[in-house]
Amino acid sequence: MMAKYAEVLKVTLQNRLAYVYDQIFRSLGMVIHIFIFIQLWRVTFRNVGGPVGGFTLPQMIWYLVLTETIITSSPRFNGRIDAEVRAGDVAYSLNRPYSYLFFQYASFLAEWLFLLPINFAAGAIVAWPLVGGIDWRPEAVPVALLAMFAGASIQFFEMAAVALLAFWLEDTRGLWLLVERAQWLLGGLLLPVEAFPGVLRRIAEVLPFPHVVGGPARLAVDFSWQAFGRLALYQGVWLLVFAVVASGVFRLGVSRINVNGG
Amino acid sequence: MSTAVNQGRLGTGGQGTPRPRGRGLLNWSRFLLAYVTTNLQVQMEYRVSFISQVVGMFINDGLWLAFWALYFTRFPVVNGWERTDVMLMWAVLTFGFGLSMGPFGNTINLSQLIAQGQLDYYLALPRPVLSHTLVSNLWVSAVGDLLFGPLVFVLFTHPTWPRAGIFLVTSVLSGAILLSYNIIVHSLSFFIGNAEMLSYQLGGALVSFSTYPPGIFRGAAKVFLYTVIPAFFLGAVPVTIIRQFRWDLMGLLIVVAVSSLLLARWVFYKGLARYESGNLMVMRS
Repeated sequence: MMAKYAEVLKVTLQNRLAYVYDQIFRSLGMVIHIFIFIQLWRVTFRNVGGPVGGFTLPQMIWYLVLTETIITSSPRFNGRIDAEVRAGDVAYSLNRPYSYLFFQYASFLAEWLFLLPINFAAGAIVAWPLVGGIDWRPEAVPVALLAMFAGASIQFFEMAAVALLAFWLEDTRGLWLLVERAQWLLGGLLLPVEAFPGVLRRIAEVLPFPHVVGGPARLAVDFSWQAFGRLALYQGVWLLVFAVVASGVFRLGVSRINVNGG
Repeated sequence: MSTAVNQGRLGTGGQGTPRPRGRGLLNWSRFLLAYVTTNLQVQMEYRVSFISQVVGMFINDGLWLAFWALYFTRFPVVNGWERTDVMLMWAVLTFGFGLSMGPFGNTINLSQLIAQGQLDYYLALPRPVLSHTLVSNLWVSAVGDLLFGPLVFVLFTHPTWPRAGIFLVTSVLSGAILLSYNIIVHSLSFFIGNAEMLSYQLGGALVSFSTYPPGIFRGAAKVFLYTVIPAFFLGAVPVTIIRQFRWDLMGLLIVVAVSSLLLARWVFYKGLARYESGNLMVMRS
């Protein structure tokens, strides 16, 4: 059952690996962003004279390396799904022995697996010499990777749910842009949610965004099993919600398709 | 080809008949205006797409302002810069970006056009090759920036009429520097082959560096950001001028803007002499 999706993942990954140098060059932007963040937070920590949002300077920088990695490693499949729905290409998948959503999900994961190590390396190459490392707990790395995987999965189904609205809307890219930017801000991409003012922090915490972006990053730099348990619970709930919503939108949308031979 | 290039450099519409400089400038301005108007009309045919791109850029810029608003709520001053200063910097940057990269939207495609030998079309026409190439595409998202900048200036920076005047002038100069820099980095395709990715990254670097308070950079980075990547001239210097007007800084900004435009023009035409046609048969739509 899952073997065909594993094969899709493998083939997509192989295709992407052919352009590994191109991707390394593309990650130059990440190097610049992390360099700028280091300058900004150095000054900020000097002015504050203590921890910010519970982080030391190196923890903050590694947190930002990870949030940037999470965001930049999430391939923008919304454009692809939106285009396939609007062009009617989605109809080709209907009589094939696979689920359209899981086919896209497998391709998405392959791209994510390809991008994640490259983008992390690009950030680490700047962070390591400028702020040094932090005391990573050995169990933090695999557990945080698992949380990132769950976060990426939430992101995919969230993206698919919005992009599949193309069955009804002329263009869903603007709508996704709105969701994506909200995710950047309220997910803790640039500033940990823990450093937000009270009300905004409470609003952010009930949304799915921090469990995709800031949660896994925080787990890696400030690990505790308690935090993992809490994050896993939220991630499980949001993953279920978005998977159900995306499949529901897909089913409703497909019922509107008229296939006229050809 | 060299004939076409020379015609292009005369570039005022006459096929080799020199015209008075003032009239030439007027013709050139009319030409640019007509092109921008037509491009705008074309884009407005796809109204939903146009509006969504403009709104999208509004949201994108708004995210950054929201981040800075959050940041300054927690940390009110960063090396002498406060929330209003960053808002003012974003107002200048986005307005300058919109003014330059909006109408001259083909700038971001320049390296690709050069690498793929697609400048032939512009070489054969009796208009300045550089400006004709740049103006032949409108960057719709930049229209969002064009509207966003003045809105932020009015809403968040305690505007007065004199400050509005200085805001307008410094934004134009900021846009001119941004445009020149992009022409130069995209012209690298003339010299090193396909520089599409490199020019994209260098262009992105300028924008990234220019959106942060200058006080966070020190030493070599600061020198670098006044020279090789002139990020401070895009936002930080205009903000200093708008906060408290200084003729010396305004003069410096004008000199940098004019000289960078001249340098960009020189680099482009120097590169154009090395250009090789792609002999492509393409349909322009």
